[in-house]
Amino acid sequence: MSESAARLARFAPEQGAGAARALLDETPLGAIELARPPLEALPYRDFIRALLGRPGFKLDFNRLAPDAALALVSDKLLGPGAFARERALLAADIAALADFAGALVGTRAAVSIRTSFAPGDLVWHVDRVNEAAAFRLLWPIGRPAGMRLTAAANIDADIYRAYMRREFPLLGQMDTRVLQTGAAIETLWAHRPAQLTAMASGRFPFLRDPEQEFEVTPGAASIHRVQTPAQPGAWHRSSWANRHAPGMQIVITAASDS
Amino acid sequence: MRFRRLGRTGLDISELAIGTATLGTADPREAAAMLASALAHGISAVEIDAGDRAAADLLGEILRREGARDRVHVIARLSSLVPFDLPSPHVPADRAYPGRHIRAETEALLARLGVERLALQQLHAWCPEWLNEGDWHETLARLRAEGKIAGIGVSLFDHDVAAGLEIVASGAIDAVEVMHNIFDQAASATLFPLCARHAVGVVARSPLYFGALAPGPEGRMRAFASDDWRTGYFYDAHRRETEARVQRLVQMVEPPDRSLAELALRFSLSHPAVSTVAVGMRTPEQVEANVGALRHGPLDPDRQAAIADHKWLC
Repeated sequence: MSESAARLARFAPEQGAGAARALLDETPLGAIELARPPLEALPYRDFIRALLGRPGFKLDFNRLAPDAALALVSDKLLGPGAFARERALLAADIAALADFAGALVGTRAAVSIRTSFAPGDLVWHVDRVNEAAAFRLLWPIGRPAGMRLTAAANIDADIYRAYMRREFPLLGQMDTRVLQTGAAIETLWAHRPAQLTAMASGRFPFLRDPEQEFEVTPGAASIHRVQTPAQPGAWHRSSWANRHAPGMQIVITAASDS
Repeated sequence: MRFRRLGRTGLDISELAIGTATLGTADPREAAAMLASALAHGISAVEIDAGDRAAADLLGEILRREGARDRVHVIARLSSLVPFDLPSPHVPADRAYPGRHIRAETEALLARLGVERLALQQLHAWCPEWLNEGDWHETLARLRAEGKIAGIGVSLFDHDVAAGLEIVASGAIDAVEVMHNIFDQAASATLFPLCARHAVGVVARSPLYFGALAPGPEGRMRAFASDDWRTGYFYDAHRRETEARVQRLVQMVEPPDRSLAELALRFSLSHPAVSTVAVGMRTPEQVEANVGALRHGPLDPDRQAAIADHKWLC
């Protein structure tokens, strides 16, 4: 993608969840961008940097409040009581974002954080759940590149189905091996150069027009539609540039049948 | 024809099995000639999608005419009650393969084929999450106790070898079906040693990678009919990459093999854990060619090592 490539429309949370939902329902990309301060400007930057020094973890908050969940991670990885003030500030930001995402569908959102990288995310895909309406907020901190999006019309559905019949299990196995061993994708798939080239460029055979992709501003948060039986999902992929620096990803999913 | 043990079923079956994916659309006379030729050569195993009524009806009729109902071991794959493109843990076992569906489809297949017992009944597109879900295993165990099936198995989705590791080690199944060919050699490293350790039989499928390893002149892929699913599967980029790899492989063919297809078939049978290799056959000539290829037995270790460099889809 060129330097001048288009950006997503930005959305200010002050406009309200109702306005965000309307935009998410209408836009062909199925995604909006929320501005966030750069890592250097965050009051909890040292805490984030300390967590980035412990790559490869993932935690689902489940029913834990953000401050309790972060305490769990921090105490285990960085020592009891470390960064108490910083993690409280981060927890407050996560709670606010989770409240906003939850309001999109009128439910409590699920939160997880991770510093791992899944190579399967390099392939264009939609997230899927079984509820009627669902959205996912992503805030990756410390990643060099933003998430890429393209319109559903830019995907050749027949070729995509054939491609995934061949690649889906292989991508899942690659994710597991990278998570377990930390090995480089280029090493694990050295015998598959065409697939590595596609992952590096985003130019997969099912993509109709490679120029029609849009990048979330690095460091910003975004919200995208999750595919459900009642709504189409947003097609997205991660960037090759993130594979060695996956950052800390805050993932908030709100899904509801009501 | 040589015979191998199908895992804990205790059955000895021919090392070549007839794949029936295209039987439902085949010319009945040609299909009958193919099957008669296969039986004459001692092939005793047939692999079939239990939900493929057209193939089952034709196979049942041919078996009746040939008087071969008690000479053929049928390896069946159940069809999921809920259609899905890819294996999905989001579809629980009791939705994909509820016990009542397993029993109904198994008994319907027995009736269509006119045989008393299937050699193997398998859950297709196996998800590891299903191991302790639903009533599928209880149902299959009951069918086995009733003598309607000889063994319980799972069939793995394309390239999804890892999905089979836990259940093979669990002791819950008698055999497993898996894609195994020159391009996807993953099973050799992980699944097959585990199967050997736990006496689980192996049905190796797609030895010719959906026909790509049986190329035409100059390593070009043969054309598929417009209504053949492989026309879409081998979209342009896939076809080009496959052909380039096939053309490199063709250079490895040397006597006694006369073609890449023969080399590929022998490769799929070379691991001792493999019980049988299922390959689609439509004509007596294809039966002759495949049986002829296997007369030379497994590839020697040097040939296997050289072919290992051609793995791609694993």
